[in-house]
Amino acid sequence: MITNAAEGNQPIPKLSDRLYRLYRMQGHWLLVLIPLILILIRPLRWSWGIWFSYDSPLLFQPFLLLLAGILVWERRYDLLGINNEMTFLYSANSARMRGSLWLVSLSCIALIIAALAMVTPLAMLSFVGIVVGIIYYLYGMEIVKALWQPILLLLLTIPPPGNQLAFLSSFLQTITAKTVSATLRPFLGETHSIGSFILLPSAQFPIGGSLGGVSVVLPTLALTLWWVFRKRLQLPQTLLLLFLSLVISLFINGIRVFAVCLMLNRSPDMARMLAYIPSWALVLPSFLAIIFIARFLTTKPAVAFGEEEG
Amino acid sequence: MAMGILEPEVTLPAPSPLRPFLILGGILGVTATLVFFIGFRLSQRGNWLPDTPERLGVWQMTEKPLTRQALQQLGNPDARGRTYENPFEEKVDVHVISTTDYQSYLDPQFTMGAYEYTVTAEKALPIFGTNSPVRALIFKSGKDQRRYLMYYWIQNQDGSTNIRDTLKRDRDFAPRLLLGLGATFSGTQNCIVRVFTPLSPADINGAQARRNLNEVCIGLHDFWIKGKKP
Repeated sequence: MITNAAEGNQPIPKLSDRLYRLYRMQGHWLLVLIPLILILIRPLRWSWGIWFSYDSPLLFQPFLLLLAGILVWERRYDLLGINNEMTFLYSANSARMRGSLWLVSLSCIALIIAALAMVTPLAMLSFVGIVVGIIYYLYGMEIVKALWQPILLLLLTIPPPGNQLAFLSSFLQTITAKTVSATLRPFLGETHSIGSFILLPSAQFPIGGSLGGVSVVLPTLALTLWWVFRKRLQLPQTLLLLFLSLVISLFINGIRVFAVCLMLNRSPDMARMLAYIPSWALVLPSFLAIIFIARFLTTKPAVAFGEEEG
Repeated sequence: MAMGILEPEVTLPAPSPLRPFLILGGILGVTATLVFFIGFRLSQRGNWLPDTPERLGVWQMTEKPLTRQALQQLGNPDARGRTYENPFEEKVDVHVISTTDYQSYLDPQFTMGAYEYTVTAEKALPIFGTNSPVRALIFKSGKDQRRYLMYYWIQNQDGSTNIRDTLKRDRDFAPRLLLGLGATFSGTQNCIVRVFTPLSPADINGAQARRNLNEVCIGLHDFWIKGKKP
């Protein structure tokens, strides 16, 4: 039999027993979680095509749901502390201990409108509204305030309007074409850029699709934001790291485009292979570089709730 | 209440800890049911894609599927592309498009704009009766100045037609909402029909083109609604 030495060789309960105990204690949450999951199915189905199209710049969005969950789990003791403090200070019926239903109701109406008009961003916004509304109703405003960072991550799962994304993509393509064509000059001779095209001495190379770097920049920024939230960094460090993640992700994508242009005549197959590297393969080194830099910036972490001096 | 008799102190029972969860479960349950119902009605609406007959009087059909770009523009719906040709080698193209996605409702003026076509004239024609109009549009190519006459309408399975439910742009929120409300409450299945033919330079008033389109459109409408082969 498996025993727990720390608790006087008490037998560790079986998983099924632990699950049953959890169900007995927290089973009422199923009343909320089951319809919440059912509600999420449709916005997820609509977003699926946006997220998982080839080299989508929004591929990171579904993972933000998971990352926000991790952040909440890591802060569970902080949240418990706030809740205990509130319970000590206020009565169970106090308005500070429990919010009203307006946010849940409004978000549910917005979700029904989004379902009728089939508008994905509104559906995702409504979903986030429902989640925040549930927390507000059950635990009050103080807990919602304490959860602003995971809530911000959830808000980033809302797909932005296509034209704004296209504008950003086109802007980054032009910047990449300009920078890479200038960098190529010492190696290949006279090179220019017109819009998102790089004009090489013997060929033209269009910086199309995700080659502009939008599929590297957006996920790296989102991951960096999650990282600074996890590390509880202060605002100046957060802004600096976000700026660096923008620069580094553009730099790493620029190296790819630079290598593609260099190999275009010498090894076209290799150039094609490099051009078609999935963007997430570039997100990883960008994010690792940010973590490496963050180590030098974060010698002293910010003071967390409940750890104040005195 | 008798005066002078003390009432026993009434203590209200503590609110059940389950109550907020029951309230939330109720609200979310109703929302989830409504969202599923709307989704079911919307998917049901686009399931109707009627076939076209091999012959419509003197008109002989050949298949001419829609291009990939055209389908992509309309949200990749199921669609039938046909060409009808008469013994004088005059051709009329027919597109029957399912309405599984709202993008299918994009106005032809918008979709044809991508191919450098502009609308130079537009009129509602009651060719299937007074309550069943179609939109007649004349398109002019910006490249070679060729002109086309198109009849465009939304065909409901009950025989009626509709020319109001179009989206001027993909993101038109109010028309999308109205489409959703209509599909959810009426439950009528429908499809989009585009019938078009080139306008010959000799056909100044478009009389020949109109006659050809009228023949094909009335033939198709009768075939779908009355099951009658012209």
